[in-house]
Amino acid sequence: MSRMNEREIARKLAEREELEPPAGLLEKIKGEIPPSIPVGTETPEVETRSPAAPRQRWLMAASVVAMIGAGLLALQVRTPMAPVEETAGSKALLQRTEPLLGARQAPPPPPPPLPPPKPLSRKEMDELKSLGYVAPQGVEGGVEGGVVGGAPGGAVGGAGAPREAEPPVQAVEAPESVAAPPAAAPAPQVAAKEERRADAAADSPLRIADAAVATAESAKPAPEVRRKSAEANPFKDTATQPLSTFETDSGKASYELVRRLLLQGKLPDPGAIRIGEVLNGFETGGVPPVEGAPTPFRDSRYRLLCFRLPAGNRVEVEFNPAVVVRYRLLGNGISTLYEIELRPEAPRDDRVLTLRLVATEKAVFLSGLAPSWEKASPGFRLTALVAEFAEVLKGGSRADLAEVARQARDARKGLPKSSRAAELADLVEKAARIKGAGAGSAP
Amino acid sequence: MRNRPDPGEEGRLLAALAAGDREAAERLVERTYKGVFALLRRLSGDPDLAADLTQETYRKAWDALPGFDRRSQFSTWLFRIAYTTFLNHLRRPRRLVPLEEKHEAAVPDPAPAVDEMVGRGMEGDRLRRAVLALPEELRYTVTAVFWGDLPVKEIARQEGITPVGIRKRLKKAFRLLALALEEDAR
Repeated sequence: MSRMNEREIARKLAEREELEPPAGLLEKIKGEIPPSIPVGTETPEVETRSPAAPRQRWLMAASVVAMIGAGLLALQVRTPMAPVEETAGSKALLQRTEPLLGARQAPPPPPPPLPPPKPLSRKEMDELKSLGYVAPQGVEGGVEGGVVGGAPGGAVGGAGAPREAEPPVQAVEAPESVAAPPAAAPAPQVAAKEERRADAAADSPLRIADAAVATAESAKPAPEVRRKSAEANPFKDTATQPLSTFETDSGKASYELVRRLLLQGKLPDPGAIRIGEVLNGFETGGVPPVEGAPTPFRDSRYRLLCFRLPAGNRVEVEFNPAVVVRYRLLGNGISTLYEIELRPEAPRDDRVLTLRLVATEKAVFLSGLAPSWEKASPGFRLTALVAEFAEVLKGGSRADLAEVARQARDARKGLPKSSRAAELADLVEKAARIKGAGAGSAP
Repeated sequence: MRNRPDPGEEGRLLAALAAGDREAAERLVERTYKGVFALLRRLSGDPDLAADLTQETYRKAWDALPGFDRRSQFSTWLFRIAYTTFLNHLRRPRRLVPLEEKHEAAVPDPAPAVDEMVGRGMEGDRLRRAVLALPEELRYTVTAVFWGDLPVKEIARQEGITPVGIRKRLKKAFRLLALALEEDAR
């Protein structure tokens, strides 16, 4: 179905059938009116000038700061480019003020030019790449992660601002292709672009504002802001925080990244891995919407719970502190995984949690969970293995990758080819090889 | 609340009510109950539940009337009570059902399966569910404008923002609704 536009949505919302109340409702309501009802006193309406919303105030302040900054910047840029020529008037003024100021100070000597940077060795280059400092191919002087101007992640632009003043910008993620070797100075096209921008900034106030915006854009600590948080979720105590909410997510970016880098023989940056997005890369279909079981990678007190819900929904989970000591959201994708620790003395027939979605709720009981890993559905096992693999890549688990790969091949037997269980096993083995641990051979 | 009650008339009825005229309360009910019911019917999708919640709304309104400061119209204030009554109804604990040992189909489950809760039934029902899944401030705004027929200015005053802010909320809500309906249709 193609996406409806705003007008269609508004029309659908405004559509209405006749919604007549049932007969007798009016009488029932009237019958419940108390004999005497005290009514609140009227508060006089005070006409006040509606103050600007805080956000608007911030925007206005930011605009003023940007304008002033742009003006100063343009002045700074223009001065060395177009020195004021000494006219007869200025000479006379100079003669009058010279005795007061003393001898004219000679301008400070320019700083000695920096020696050209030593070309990086192949090893150093690889190290830089692994840290994600090398720009992907085709990125010229980009804000995100380019080795430009000899500085890792050097940002280019900024209306001719001095290069030393520009903050280094960190790369977003490990590169997928080999970038050009670091250059000693900005590429000629880039430098020319800078000059043109500086000229334009000095031309008119509007352009000054544009230049200021461009400067502010280039100075943004972009990568940290733009990347979704990939921090591992900590355990939460059910006694103090029994409620947990999550939104299902259908993105697959992390899966694509992990797959691509492993196929290139590289390990992904742990911070770039979102377990939910990795889970979305695999198909588990034909399984119950809620499932739980122990896993071979955790202590027997722990259970993994998996919810499979339609994407884009907000779900609330209320854990029962009488049964669950603590919980941790491992990842939320189309499949969402929680790890829970059970109380050792938990009765077998008790509620583990209540799941709420839109206007409906559902209880999950301990007796509803699979008693062992082997009795869990192959889809569940595949999901758990993907999560374990992602956890290992993130550095949050020390599970044996050889075992994960073996289990993935085992789970493949009960799953369709589209599940990509075999691909998971291959990826795990590749990761193990890269890590130098050896994943063992498939049976 | 399609035909907006006259605020002047509402004021007169409230003044009469304050003076002890019980009939004024009856007039207020007559003027507003259809709108309250229609709103709750659209929110809940269930006429019986909507009727019960309409009665509950008025019970709460009589209790809360001493605190009504008349900064907004009576009908707007009543709308908010009805809306909150509905949300409270959703949050009430209901009968819990166990999850079956392996596959849900083995035992009939009186509650709808979680993966069937959206994308089920008619288009109107899908839209209703999509509206209910919106973040609170967007959900309230959409409900108030379209199902409560409250004027944008009145909602803005109640929410403490400008009418432009309300329109921005609506735009954002439309985008989310379009996405949700598209996702639902797949």
